[in-house]
Amino acid sequence: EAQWKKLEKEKTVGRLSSGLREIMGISEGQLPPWCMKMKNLNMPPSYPNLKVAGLNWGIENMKGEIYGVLDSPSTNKKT
Amino acid sequence: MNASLNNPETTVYVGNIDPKVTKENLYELFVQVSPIANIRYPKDKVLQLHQGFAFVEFYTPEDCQYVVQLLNNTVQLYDRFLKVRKANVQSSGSDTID
Repeated sequence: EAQWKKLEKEKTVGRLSSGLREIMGISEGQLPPWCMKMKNLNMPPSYPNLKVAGLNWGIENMKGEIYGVLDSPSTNKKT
Repeated sequence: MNASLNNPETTVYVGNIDPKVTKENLYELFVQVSPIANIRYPKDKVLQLHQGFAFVEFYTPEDCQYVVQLLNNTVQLYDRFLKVRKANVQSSGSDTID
């Protein structure tokens, strides 16, 4: 359970560690393969305010492990 | 946290997982698409190897549905495409609970 708490703290939407990127075969600065599908399916039901670089967020926001961010609900509604 | 485990309506089955993939890898991957309630990733007791599949539980059926649509046959881990489908297609009574 301690391990789970650690995961919840460390791993968040919008950031992919270099370790996982390597396993997935994508490099930093490359969008994860599901992001293009988000264009057709809309954003995840639990992350309606998700911003993805190159999709609904400037591509210049892609930095290192970061490819997206959860916007606060007040700033933005769907899309 | 373990109070309401195993709701098939909110759980996906993930298959074709390379045994080198860790539970942390799965968490990090799926949290990109939805908050996660629980992950069961059984190991072979004798070989101490993961068995190539996992059950990932979310909080709502909508999350579950979306994850299947978005991630089935989409992500490769160690060059193997993950298969993601709803867990309630067949009963999952035979696997171990950790």
